[in-house]
Amino acid sequence: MIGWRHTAPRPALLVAALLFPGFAMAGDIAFVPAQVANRVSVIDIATMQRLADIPVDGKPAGVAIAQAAGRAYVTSPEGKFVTIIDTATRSTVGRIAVGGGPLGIAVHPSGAPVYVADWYQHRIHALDPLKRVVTGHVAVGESPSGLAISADGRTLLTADRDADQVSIIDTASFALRATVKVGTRPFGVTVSADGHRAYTANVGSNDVSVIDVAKAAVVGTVKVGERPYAVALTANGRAFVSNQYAATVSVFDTTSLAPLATIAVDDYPEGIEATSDGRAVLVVNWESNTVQRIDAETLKVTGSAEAADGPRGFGSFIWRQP
Amino acid sequence: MLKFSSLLAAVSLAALPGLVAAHGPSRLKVTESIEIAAPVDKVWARLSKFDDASWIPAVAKTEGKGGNAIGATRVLTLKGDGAPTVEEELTRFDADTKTLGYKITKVDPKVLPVTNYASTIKLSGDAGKTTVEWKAGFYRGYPNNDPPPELNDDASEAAVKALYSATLADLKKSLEAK
Repeated sequence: MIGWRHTAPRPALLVAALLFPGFAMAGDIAFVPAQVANRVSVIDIATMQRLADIPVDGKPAGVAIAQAAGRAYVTSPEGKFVTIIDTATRSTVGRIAVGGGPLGIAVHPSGAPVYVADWYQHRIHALDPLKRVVTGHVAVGESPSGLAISADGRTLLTADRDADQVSIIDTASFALRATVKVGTRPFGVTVSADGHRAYTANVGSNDVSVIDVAKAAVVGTVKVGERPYAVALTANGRAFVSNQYAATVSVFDTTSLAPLATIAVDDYPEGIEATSDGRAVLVVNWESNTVQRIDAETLKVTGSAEAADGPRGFGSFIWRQP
Repeated sequence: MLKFSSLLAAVSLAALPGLVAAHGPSRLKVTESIEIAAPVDKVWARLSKFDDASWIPAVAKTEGKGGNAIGATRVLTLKGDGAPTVEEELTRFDADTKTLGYKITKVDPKVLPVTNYASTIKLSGDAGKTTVEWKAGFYRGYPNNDPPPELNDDASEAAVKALYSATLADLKKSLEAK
């Protein structure tokens, strides 16, 4: 996952913001893989209306968005493939066979390559999304799960769950640059907008490891709730962490690392991501089949939508509609 | 007397190191619920003591530590051959909303073919009747791809479903009898 980025407001967004006062995230559309239902639920974040359910086979779980290209790439670990969705038409346009157990996924900011973590073969695949083929691999630690890529596209990070480490990959050479030991069983990983910091949600030690990416070193650890899944970063310098078993979202300050709040949400919160304006986060609740929107400043739940059964939304799932 | 999962053939798979073991690709979901003609407070009193799992017919004995505090643990000894055990930990407890959650920290997949299993019990109702909702989230017994049939998604789901429905039916019978 990538953290919130500065983006200049575009005319369409400004118009939408006038139509939906208070919701500058107008134009943000979530593409949420629902693993039990074999669907990707499409949700308008400003109105919290569910717009569509796109059929995707093979127990879809992970997702990454190519913003400019208007593509959502969805991993199906059971089906062993990646499904390509056209975000404008909300329809599937192709599939890329990967093999193994594709789970975590990220897209280079330029739109290619697409990187896929193979949970069973302990490596990262690079995919050419136009030719729809696997073009290379790099070996990482055991059971790589979450992926994050820096906004400049130079650095790819993987949370190697069963190795208790993060691998830092140089994308230009597609080679491993460093590994960093983190807490127990890191699952989701998120990199800050400036690419300096990365955050892992450690399901085994119930904490978040804060990594200095350049130094490849852990610079802080923050206790969170039971069985954390992933981390979202907002424009006001906060981190939001979904705690699956506690049914809460932990919030901490990314500068002081001081805990700020624990927000009650629906059951089994998993995928979590900041909206494009960085002023809200969306959390996907696997057990309750809901997606909730949380205001990053007031820390209140400001909206909720139903999703298809078993939504996971592991990765980056928000597309900014142009 | 039945084990948690009665029909599993002997499987030569070492007991998994429970807590956050490697797991399959898809988390599975089971929800069972039942309506009981008994006051919600009475049903909560029966279900909410984490160190007393005697309401689950498959359980012969509960040894608990820590009461109902988050992080409390219990060891369930099951009826049946070899008196298998299941170790669990309390992860959620809210008397106001009558919700409790726990996870299995150690189980042999021969006893219950699951990994990374967590469960939530929620009650709703009034002085006359109660709805018990029992939900589980877990991965199949076999942690890698291409599982043997007795440890695949369907087998895991069927085992948990059978356990929940039989237990809830028994709970209803015992609480409505009194």
